[in-house]
Amino acid sequence: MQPLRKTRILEWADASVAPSVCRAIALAGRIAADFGASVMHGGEGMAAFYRSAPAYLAIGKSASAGMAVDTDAVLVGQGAENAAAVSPARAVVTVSLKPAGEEPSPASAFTIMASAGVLDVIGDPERAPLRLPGAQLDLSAGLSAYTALAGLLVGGGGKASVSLLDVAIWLNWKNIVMAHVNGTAPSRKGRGAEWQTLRCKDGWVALVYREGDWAAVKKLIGDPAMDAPELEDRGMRRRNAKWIADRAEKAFSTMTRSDIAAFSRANRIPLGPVQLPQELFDEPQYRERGFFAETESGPMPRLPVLWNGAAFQPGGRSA
Amino acid sequence: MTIKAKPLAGIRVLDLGIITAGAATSAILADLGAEVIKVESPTYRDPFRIWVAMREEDKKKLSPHFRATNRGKRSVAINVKTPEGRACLLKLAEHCDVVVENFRRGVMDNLGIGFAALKAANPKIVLASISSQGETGPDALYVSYGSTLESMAGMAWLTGYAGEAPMVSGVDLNYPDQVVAIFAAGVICTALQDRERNEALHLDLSQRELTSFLISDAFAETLPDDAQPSNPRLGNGDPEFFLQDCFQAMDGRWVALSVTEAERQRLEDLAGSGGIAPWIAAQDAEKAAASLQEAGLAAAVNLSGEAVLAAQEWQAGMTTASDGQPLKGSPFVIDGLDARPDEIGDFGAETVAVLKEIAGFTDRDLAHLADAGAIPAPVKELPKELL
Repeated sequence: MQPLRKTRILEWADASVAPSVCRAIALAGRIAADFGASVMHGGEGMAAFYRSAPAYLAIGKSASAGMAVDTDAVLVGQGAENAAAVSPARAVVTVSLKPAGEEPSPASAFTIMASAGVLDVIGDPERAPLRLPGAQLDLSAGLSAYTALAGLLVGGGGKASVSLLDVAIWLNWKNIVMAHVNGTAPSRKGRGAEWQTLRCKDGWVALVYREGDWAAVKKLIGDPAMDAPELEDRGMRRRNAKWIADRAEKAFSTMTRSDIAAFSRANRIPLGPVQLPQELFDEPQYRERGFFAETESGPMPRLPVLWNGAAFQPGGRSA
Repeated sequence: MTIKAKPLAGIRVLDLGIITAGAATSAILADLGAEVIKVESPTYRDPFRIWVAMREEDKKKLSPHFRATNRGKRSVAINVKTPEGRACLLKLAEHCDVVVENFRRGVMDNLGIGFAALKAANPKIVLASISSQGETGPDALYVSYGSTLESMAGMAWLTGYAGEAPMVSGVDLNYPDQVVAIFAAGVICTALQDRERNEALHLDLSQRELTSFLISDAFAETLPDDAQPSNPRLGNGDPEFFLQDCFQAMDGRWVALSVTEAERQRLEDLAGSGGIAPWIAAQDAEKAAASLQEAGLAAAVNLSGEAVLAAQEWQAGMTTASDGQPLKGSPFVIDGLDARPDEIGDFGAETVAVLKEIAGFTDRDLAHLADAGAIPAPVKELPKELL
């Protein structure tokens, strides 16, 4: 059950390649390794990245002597395409911060999220725009690089490119569509957001719901003021989101996350308890599905797919 | 190296995906060259068709979100709640390589089109089930949207202003719904490239698990028995940078800035002893960002969605319909491929063509299916004597 068991992949980045690009390449390589590929890495950029990279990105990989090593596919940071030309690989995926051909200017994943409008939708309207946590854009680009690579392998080879800017814009597509339709795009709304986290007795819970869930949400909040006929209209609810959040938070102050989750389960509504990362090690859902795999570096999330019910171990054949 | 054909040329996908996660997965497969047949029921259309309708007068209009997500597909209407419709769908599945679905768990089996039925119809089928929580486990039936999963997967805990409440990306971004489509398409391609696979395959993809997978750093920095909450929210801060944040300029706009330790001196040379915040606050955002970039620092003006649309600085991330509406593009570029897919036709527009060309139904079969309520009637493409 290792679909890439016969595939050899090389990750390559020169010293000039940004750490965000190296991280994207490393995630794509990690996924390939889990699927059974033999994954090597080379170039000064990847070497520097792996010197301080977390174990989950390095697991199952080995260092390579050079680009000319016999591989089926190469994941390469922009700037090393000439080096990639000597590779015998049939599939080459180039990863960069910005699309090829764009005028070079200093950028980071964070400033790219600003340029793509992603920052603009998270946070409070009067305060600084906020990023997605961790290195989400790098990792999203890593998913894209892996998918491009896997597609090329189906087709027998070819070249593909992934830029963090295009990935960020792709992620933010809804706001670009709404900008065209309405002339303005949704911006961050903070306490006025339709979906947001609210305090409850023992932490936070995400108030998330759709049109058909409103009756059950009202029942959970248990406040007769929510029965106002005008609030049956979604547009009115969005305009009064802060007022709804205030009333809901007051009601939630006597409920635990478990209480709210139990109500949500019973009434089939999508409110979500905010869970701490450390709580998830013992989360029944994750335990039953074996989501955390034991590795030499400690418990680590496995690849989030089951293949006819079976899981892939981090690092694949080397695990 | 030149590409001779689209990577997924000859691959046929039966797309039962709805809203974003499933439908966008199939759209990426279409970008890679697969023939994607989007099947909806006359009694249950993709809810995305009316997703954004907040005004009564808009409720019958096709949602721009649906158009944006379902480009590059053929639209087919089959009512699988009828025995004839179910048999029709399974016959179509015989001629497909992949089925994509993201219904609530149990719906596929209840309709009689679950993995066992698909496998009986096509012994090499790949069924990609994209669910909120996974096929199994005590939360398999927990109704969730993207931001529900951000919360339950640990990501919301990491999002927000430093020292303040956790946050979700919210209805306007709904991050987990977006990334799962990229990952699911990659997993499906992985299955397809394994030429030695000789059995049907059920891919069980959990969005919650993917969301946790993407915060693997956080699990590395905590221990299961930690008594105190770890992983504090950092706002825009990042340990890899000496400074990373947004600063408000004189014109009210925000400038995003990332400065490494090695670049610290350049920042101090530019901003002087007063610091960067007042330096940016004393000028317009565009001017500040340009000066920072000239100094070799990563900086950009925070753009709104409408500014991103106006700038159109993408290569592939978005594309455009003939009437100018932006459509979802691709998160990657395949050299030599046209990245401008056709728009999807009207609801069920290609039902007859697909069932005849691909599944081999005759006009008489189609008339029977219409009579049984399995496909919408009347079927105007049929000879008059069969109507």
